Formats: sequence, C-alpha cells, structure tokens
Amino acid sequence: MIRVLLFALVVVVVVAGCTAAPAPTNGPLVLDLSVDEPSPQREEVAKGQSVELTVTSSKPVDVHVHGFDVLAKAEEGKPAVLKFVADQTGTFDVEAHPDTLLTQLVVR
Amino acid sequence: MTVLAHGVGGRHDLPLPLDLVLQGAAVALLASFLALGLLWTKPRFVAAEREGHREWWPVQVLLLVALPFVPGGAWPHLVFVLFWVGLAVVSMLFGPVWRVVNPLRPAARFSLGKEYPARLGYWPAAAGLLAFTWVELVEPGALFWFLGGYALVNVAGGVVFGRAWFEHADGFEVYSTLLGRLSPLRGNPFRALVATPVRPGLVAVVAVCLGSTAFDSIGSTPTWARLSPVPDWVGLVATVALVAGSYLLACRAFGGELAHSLIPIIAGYVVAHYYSLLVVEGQRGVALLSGVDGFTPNDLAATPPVVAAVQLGAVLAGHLLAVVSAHDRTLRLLPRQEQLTGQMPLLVLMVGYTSGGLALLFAG
Ligand SMILES: [Cu+2]
Repeated sequence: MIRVLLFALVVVVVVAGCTAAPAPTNGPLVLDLSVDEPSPQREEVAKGQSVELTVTSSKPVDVHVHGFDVLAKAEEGKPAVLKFVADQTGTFDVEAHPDTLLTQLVVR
Repeated sequence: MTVLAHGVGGRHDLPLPLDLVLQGAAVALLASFLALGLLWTKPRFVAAEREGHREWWPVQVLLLVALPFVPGGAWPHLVFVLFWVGLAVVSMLFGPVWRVVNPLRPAARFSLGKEYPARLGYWPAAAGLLAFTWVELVEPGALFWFLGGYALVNVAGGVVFGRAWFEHADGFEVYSTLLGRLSPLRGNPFRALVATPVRPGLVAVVAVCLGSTAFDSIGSTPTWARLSPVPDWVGLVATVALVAGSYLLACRAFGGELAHSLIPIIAGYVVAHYYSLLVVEGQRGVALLSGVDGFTPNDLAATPPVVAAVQLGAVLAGHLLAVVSAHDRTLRLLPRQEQLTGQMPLLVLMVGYTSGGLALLFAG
C-alpha cells in the first residue's frame, strides 16, 4: 500500500515538474469574438502586452473588459473594437452585458 | 451600476499553477494515509463546549443605529466582502462573533419564550445560507430583498423563540459558531470541534458552505459558461447536493457525528478562495463605507506568489486538521477491529474534496 502511494507521489511530482511555463509573446493579442455564438476560452496574456478585441453582435450590447474597465458598444454591422494594454495581473472576464461571457484573459 | 450587476470585484485570482495543484494533492494523499498509520489508536479529544457566550448588546444596538447611514453603493462590498468573508475569518481567529454583535439579536430580549422545535434543528440555517449564497453567486441584484427578508424572519423568530432561534436558525450565527470552534485563542480547537452539537440539518449546513464556495469557482470558469443553457442556480444546488451526497455515502449512519470534521476543510477553502477578495476589495469596502468613491486598492498583499502560497497553505492546513479530527472521532464511534477500514471512505473523500478544491483553483 505505502509502496503504491510513494510510486504515485513520484509520478505526480515528475509530471508536475515537466509542465513548462508558456513562452512569452511580443505582438498584440488579437481576438475576434461573437456575442451571438459565444465560445469562451481562457487566453494567456503577458503582462504589458496589448490586447485588441473585435466583438460582433446582431443586437445592440455593451461589451465590458472587467478589471481594466474598457467599455464599447456593438450592434448589427458595427462591431465593438476594444484596445488596451494588459498592465495588471489576474484573471479578467470579457463579457457582453448583462452576463454573456465572451472570453477570459489570464494576465501574468 | 456595473458593480451591483456583477457582485463585487472585477478580477479573479490567477489560476493556481498546475504543479502546485498536483504536489498539493500528493501531499494531502500521502499525509492522510501516513496519519492513518501513525496517529494515536485511542481517542484523545474530550468534547469541551466553550463557555462564556456573552453578547455585547451596546455594540448590537450601535450597529443597528449605524446601518441606515451606510451609503447605498457600499452595500454589496459591505455584505459580500466585509461581512461574509470577514465574518468567516474573524470567527476562525476569535470565535463566534456574530452572536456577539448581531444587530438583530436584541429581538430575543422581547421574546414570547416559546420552545424552539428540536426537529427543525439547523434546517432553517441551512436554507438561509443557501438563499444567501444564491444571492451572492447567482443574483446579486436581489441583495436588498434578501436583507429585508433576513431581518424580518430573524426578528420574528427571535421574538417568538428567543435566543434559541438565533443559535439554531440564523444561518450566519450557525456559520460563525461552527467556524469559531477553530479559534486557537479559546482552548484546543479539536475539543471544541468534537463538541459540535449533532442536530438535524447539520450536514446540510456543512454541504451548503462547502458546495457554494466550490460552485463559486466552477461558475466563473469559461467551461461552465459554455454550458450556458444550464442556469447558475441549478449548478449551485447540484454542487451542494453532490457534496452532501458524497459525504453521506462515505459516512453512512455516522454523517452527523462526523460532520464537525469537515469544518476545517470549509475554513481552508474559504480562506484560499476569498483571501485576495478580502485584502483587496475589503479596502474598497472600507473606502465606500466612509463615503469615498473611486478608491484604488493597494494590492501588495495579493501578489500572485502570495496568493498562491496562501491558497495552498490554507487548503492543506484545513485538510490536515480535518483528517486528525475525523480520525479521533472514528476511534470513539467504531469498534476496535473496524477502526482502520472504517476510516477509509471518509479519508478518501477528504482527499477528494481537497484535491478537487485545489483543482478548482486551477480549472478554467
Ligand atoms: Cu461587466
């Protein structure tokens, strides 16, 4: 029993040691997002990287980047364009109000 | 009014690094089974109920008088951060504070003195806590309705049943009293834990506390959002039911007698989950209370390495306390020859809760 557990521990620690840090990126993060068919994912952003979001919607909505408090309106034929620099770390929701999650930015 | 539409805080913690999650889970697993083999074989902790349950009625009255002066925009921070998270942390450190300062408790002084029905137990508290966590996680806009309803029900209950109402049926007092058993300042926490009165609804209270915090993590992941036809309240109720179901399955007939051992796990997860909210948004809450809008909190105490260390430390500490307190209690509950095997299901479950809790701090 103890031997099995020790083995499990070794496997876990080795696997854990092998997970590499994400490679740093320099250009802006460019994302096209849709309010009508949202498919939110987590997106890794390096601190200080700029972010450009283009959000399309068939209905008029407010798009909001939490934490940075960038706001823009999107409507039929007029996508919202949000540009900002991710200058603080954390995990931030980008949503169409009231509560459609469009993407989540992980800034580190 | 973006704040009210979102609860509080625009930022979530960074995901806990995967290697920390895996190492933490491994430590929890290994420590648990080592504990099983190495810890004492005769029960040690004699139940000791803590005495000296005073109430500071001048503070209660003062709070009651102060509440109407709280600026309207400060209420979400006051309730969701300073009160809900602050109450938990202060209780863990100093004991059951809500009973001491609850501004509604003076209602019990005008009591009709009817006897509180024993079969109700903690069920009203469990229902109240579930309603509150629903407001917190699903419908923050209903905060004022909730507060009004809470005040009405508890004043009425206090007038009819007196102090017993607050001890059994006020969700916040039950929560604060359960976490208060961990206070190291008021005697041995293990002896206080084992003295937890086993009443109907105790497991429900514990499941609501643990399940709602877990759902807060689940509900804010993109994965959950992609399941969007599932309403959030279904997720909340399902998570609470999952915690209750898995626990009862592991403990069978001893569900009530062992429920106190989950309190440290709840505490550890609450600290891990809400630490940064308390230290960052707590500052904004204090600013809003003093009438200052547009305050920028200082987040030196919540840098990513600090948050990760607090999260891992709190979850593992909670796990270890839980394992020790469950171990000691099962020694008293089970006959000698069943002690080793009898502890296994709960131990495995606790490792599952702890690894699951860590995984949720990572999950997207
Ligand atoms: Cu928003």
